[in-house]
Amino acid sequence: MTRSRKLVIVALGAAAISIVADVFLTISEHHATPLWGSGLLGYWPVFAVFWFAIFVFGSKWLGTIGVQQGEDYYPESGPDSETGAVGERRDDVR
Amino acid sequence: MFANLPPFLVLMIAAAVVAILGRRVRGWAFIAAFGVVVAQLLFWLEPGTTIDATWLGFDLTPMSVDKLSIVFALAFALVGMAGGFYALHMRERGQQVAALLYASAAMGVLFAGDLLTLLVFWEIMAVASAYLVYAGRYRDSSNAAMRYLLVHVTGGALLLAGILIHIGETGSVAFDLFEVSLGGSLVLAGFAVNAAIPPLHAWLPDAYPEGSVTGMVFLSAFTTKTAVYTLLRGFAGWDILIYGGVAMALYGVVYAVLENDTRRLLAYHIVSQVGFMVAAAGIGTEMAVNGAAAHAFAHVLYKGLLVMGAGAVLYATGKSKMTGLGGIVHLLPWVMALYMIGGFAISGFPLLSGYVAKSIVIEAAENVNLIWVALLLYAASIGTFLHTGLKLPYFTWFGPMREMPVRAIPAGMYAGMGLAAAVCIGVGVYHYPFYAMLPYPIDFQPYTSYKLIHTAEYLTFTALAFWLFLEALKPKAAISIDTDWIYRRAARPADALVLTPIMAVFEAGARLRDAVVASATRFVMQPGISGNWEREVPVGVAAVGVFVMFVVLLMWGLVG
Repeated sequence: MTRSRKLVIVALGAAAISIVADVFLTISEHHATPLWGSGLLGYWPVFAVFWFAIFVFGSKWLGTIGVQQGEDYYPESGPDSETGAVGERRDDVR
Repeated sequence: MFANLPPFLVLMIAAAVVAILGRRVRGWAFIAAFGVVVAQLLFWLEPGTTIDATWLGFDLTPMSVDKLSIVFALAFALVGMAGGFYALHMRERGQQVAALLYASAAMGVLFAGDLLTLLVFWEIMAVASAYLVYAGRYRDSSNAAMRYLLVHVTGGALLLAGILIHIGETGSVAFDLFEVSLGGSLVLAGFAVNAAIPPLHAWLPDAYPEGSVTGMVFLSAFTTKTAVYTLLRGFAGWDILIYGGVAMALYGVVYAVLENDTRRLLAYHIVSQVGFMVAAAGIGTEMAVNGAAAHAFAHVLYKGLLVMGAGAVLYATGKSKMTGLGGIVHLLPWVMALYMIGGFAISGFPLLSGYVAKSIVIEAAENVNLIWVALLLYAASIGTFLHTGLKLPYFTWFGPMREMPVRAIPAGMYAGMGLAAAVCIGVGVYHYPFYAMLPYPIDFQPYTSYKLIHTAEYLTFTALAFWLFLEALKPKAAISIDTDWIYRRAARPADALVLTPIMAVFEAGARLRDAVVASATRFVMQPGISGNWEREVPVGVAAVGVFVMFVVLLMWGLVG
């Protein structure tokens, strides 16, 4: 089993445990929280996925409308790609 | 011997000593200086200690100690020690002296009881830190250092103007809470530059990644956090800081998605994390000030650890861009492990410092019914985990494997990272001793079942979403345009539109002047009018003629 697959299984297991714990918590405790709707079951998983999508796809959209440019956009900096073509950092890195 | 010396003086003396010491002992002297300051702060310096002086009729307080300044100073001294170990292999005298002066000036700001003392240390900080950017000596380091210096000189000018107007308005140089006024607003603008509040933030992701591997550790700690300290002391409760802080927290996260350079990604997360502190300063309650101080302390250490981790990768591989990295976990496993402690701490994992500190800030927002602030700060925490806890480590250490030469990491680097990691764990596990250092009494339990479970939920679902959308998060070899575009790119059209016409007017004036002089010269030299005038008229006659003309002119003036 690859390391990545193990990590996914661990994350899925943690998610399952947290949801089960949330169910018991919701039944047994009435936590007084002022956060809108946060007492609802499944609020935090939905919150996480919603903001994940906002950040990732919102940022990608900003990139497409001109925020993201080529590495040689600023002429004084020049291309600084470290993919191997040009602009490796100095070997004697301080 | 050192007990009664102001910490900034200890570090300034250390800078002078390090400047003349041999290369083998300089690094240890550097660490010892910060060790002395840690001891001073933990055992000797008492809140309420002051040093007073008079200068040009102003009553100055070059040193004023309270719990707020101590908690910030302790964080600085600890990261100074960690950074000292991390930089033990680095023998460049200039960087060592600059780092000590930078730390000394940052301490000077923390203990300044008056605005003039603060201004002096503020400017020393700008110059010393600019050198650490320059010392990176990468392709753009010197340009970035110059831009950094110009931005900070501008910020310093705003601060100076604000202080002078404030003195005119109030007659006082004491550094206390500001009223809403022109002077106060200019001082706030000066502090906002150093706090990197958008749109005044672009100097940070522009300059810090160009700093040296060791220098960026200090850069990430001092400038923005001294600014947070000054906001807490001078502007606690100003609503504008709540909006500015929340904007920072989200702005840094959004830009981090697009970032390819590991150190620039971390720089954007400095903007984001400082946003939590700025928002807390804006809330301004005792709980919020405690939260800002706690978060600043935690942030200085875990951000130092993250920067050390990314710096160690750069040191070992010569690369800092994720498009050029990947699959090196088996080569640098301990760097990855130590980095992940910082990554989990900044993401707010339980039992680590970030969890405790962020919980206090968010609780402070909830307590005053600022629900939108609390929710947006939770959202920023999700973005933080996504980038510093998942994206950066995955594409740096895991991901597609690349063959590359890797040089050994010096033991000092591991020691520095280990020290910072130990503090992250210590504060997360034993938070009550940490609470005792905060400015106000605090009775807050971060480890409740509700908090632990919802934290586990949003972190694990963020991780799952990351695996699901891994391809969308793959870094691209590109840069992001930020507000530094205004002075890096738009300066050219501005030059064409504004400066070129002005210069054209001056040049036209100069041409006219030359033409008049040439015509006058031709006129007096013209043979047709007076022949060789200068040869035919004796000098004495010419002098008498000029004298007569002056007399006539004078008489006309007097009589007329």
